[in-house]
Amino acid sequence: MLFVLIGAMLIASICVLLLRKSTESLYLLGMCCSLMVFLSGILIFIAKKGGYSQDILRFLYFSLALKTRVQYLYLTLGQIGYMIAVGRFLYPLFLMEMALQYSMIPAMRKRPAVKKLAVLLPAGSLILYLPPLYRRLVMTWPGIQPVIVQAAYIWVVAYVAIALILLLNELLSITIAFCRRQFACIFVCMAALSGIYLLYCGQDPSQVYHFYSYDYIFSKGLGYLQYAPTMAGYVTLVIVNVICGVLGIASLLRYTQDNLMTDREESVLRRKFDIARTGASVFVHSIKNQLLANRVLEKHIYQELGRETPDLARIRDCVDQLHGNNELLLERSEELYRTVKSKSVRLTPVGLGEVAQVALDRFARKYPEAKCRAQVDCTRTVMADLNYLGEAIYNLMTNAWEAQVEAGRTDRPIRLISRQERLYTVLEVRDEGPGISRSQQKKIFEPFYSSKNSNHSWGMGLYHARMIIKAHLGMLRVESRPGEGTAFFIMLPRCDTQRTVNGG
Amino acid sequence: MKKLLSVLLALAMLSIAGLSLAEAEPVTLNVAYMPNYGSLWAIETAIQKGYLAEENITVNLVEFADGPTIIAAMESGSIDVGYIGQGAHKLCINGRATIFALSHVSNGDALIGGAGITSVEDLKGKKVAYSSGSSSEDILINSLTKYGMTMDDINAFDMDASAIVTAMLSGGVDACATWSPNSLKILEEMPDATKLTDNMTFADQTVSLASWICMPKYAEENRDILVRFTRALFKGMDYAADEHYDEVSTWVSTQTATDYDSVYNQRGDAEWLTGKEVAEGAADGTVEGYYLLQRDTFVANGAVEKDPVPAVSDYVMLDVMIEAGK
Repeated sequence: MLFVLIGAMLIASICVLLLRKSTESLYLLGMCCSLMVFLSGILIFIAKKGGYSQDILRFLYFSLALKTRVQYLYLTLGQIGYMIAVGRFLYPLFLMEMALQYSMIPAMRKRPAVKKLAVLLPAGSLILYLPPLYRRLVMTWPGIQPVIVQAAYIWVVAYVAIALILLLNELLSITIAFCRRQFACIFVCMAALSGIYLLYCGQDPSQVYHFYSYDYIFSKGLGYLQYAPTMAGYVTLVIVNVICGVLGIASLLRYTQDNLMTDREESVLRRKFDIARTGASVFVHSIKNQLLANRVLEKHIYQELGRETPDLARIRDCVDQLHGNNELLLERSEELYRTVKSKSVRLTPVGLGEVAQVALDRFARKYPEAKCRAQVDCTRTVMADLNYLGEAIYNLMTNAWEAQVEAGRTDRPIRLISRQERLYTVLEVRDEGPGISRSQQKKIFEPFYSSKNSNHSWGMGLYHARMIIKAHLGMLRVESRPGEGTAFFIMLPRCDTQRTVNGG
Repeated sequence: MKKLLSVLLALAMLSIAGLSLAEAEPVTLNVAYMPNYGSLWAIETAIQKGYLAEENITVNLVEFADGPTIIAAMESGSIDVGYIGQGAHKLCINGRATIFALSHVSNGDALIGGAGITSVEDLKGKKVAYSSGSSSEDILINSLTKYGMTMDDINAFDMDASAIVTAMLSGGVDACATWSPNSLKILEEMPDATKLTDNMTFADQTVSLASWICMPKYAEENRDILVRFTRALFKGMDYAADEHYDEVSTWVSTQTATDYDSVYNQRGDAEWLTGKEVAEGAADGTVEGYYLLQRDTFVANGAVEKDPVPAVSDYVMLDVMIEAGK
């Protein structure tokens, strides 16, 4: 049962690594591999040494035939013991590295040497537990064995505890709900794997090397000969393992799926935009119809002007219509041009306050009567193209206000809030509009998609904003509850340089 | 009249016996064994013939690979009483466990050489598999010592009993020290293998014993249970020591899930003692003499370094054997 469970976790972690090639995925694979090696060593040892009823053996190995095959494996006790040592000492290391990787505690991030130092104890233990060296040591100084055993047990448990505390601290310090949900998956996965590990980590390899050569009583861990091996006890134990394992796998898959969905959305959007690019030419062509309509207006004007006493009011009316159409066409053409043309952004350190100010100014020009409350940390800096990023925020603010108008809540301000969230500087644009349904949320970033039945809405705003933010190596996420409002999160890579800028 | 009196006396004795049985507290024991004839011959007979039931004892048999493992399991509390071979006796001398019954004088251990190894001297520099802490280590050290060699003269591979078989048959090692039935299996499946030594090789110097043990604390608190258990064992030994090998082999092969023939072939692995012989030997000093000789051999080999060397009576409950035989 344990073999299947750990095997499933191993496959899941390989899948994660293949789908998401990152340091974290590598650490996760390392954790699963070391756990598998650790438990395999224990199970081989159990098969060889016995001490369990036939029912329990069937339960652990599925069949006595398989148990017998494992029992007769040609492995020395030194090899089995070192197998257990490798798994036992590498799991806490990978977990710790993972926790340090995720940790945003400034003291940790400013000291990358901590990650290197974390390798010392596992590496030292692996050297110390090399069977020939270990035997020589304990034969020369028998009193050293309990010291080594205790020290190894203390540090592996301490590593796991510290790593879980760091991860928990990280989880609790996240304020954005969707970020917390995603990180919770990682935390549950780590906690579940560690739960399995902690059940067995009392199994010291010395128990295998020199089974009873020294006065060492094996008092820790569930690995071997620790408690009366009743069937009920083992069923409970395996149920705990299965719960931990399933939770871990489920969390892992959910986390991966989240990331996959985002990546897939990106590629779908890109594909759609490629289609849209072609469509744009068709669209521009269709603008001709509008121009033709303008020609009609123009004709009317000429007709009036051809009369002896032209109807000036009619002419003025036609000119006004012409002007309006013309402005609209120009605006659309420019917007299309800006979006379609391949653009490059120049990222320079910019104060968050400056960016917000650009967006606020544009927003104020478009909707002078609109209310907006900005809470931006002007001391923060981001790597950004001031103009483009300002435009992206302005787009989101425009949408937010329009949503609020639609909901009849013009007495309430929209909000622009900044915060620091793990590796990101986040700008949140929040409204109290009608909200966006889940099905709509999947489409809103598509080019030429608009839920508004308006001549002015052209469905390029959110796509445009997302592309800009993407060009800033950031992410744009949305959270919405129908009837309550919507929040857009612009997540930009955190830039630790701080400077004081007045604005916002 | 005499007849009537005899019948009445017999009835009275039966009722007393019945009363004493009724008074014996039912007890369930977790009993550790190794999967071989020597470990199971007495206990299986005691179970199958109902001798343990007569003592109101139920047993859960739990299989182990070797004696040291059984002692470790006892320390963790999962096993009440267990069977050990020669090698694990040194742990008893060191105070780790208490012997309450002698099972038999063993001849099941052997040092076996693979192809081209026909004497102990040929082992020099060769790969030799053994199980540390067990009778396998014991016979290996005895053999090397006899020919003026030490463990440093060979390339020793510490393995469990099962791996030794695989290692030997696959040619992974050149020789091995192990016990029956592994020794028999290797000799049977390797035509070019040679038995270099066995327990009989050292019969003039030492004795290879197999015993029933428990934790010292358990012995202190449950002497009555040990006497009852030993009494049942002795009855089993009386039944199986000199006859009924086929019947016992059937029971043992069922318990160990091995074929009948391989179990039956192990019937020559020891000098099977009757319960009566053990009880009488405990009373007249013969059994103590066995354990004394064994202890002194361990001390001479350096396997036991305890100073002062404990007296046999410190770790062997001769009184239990004597009482169980009454």
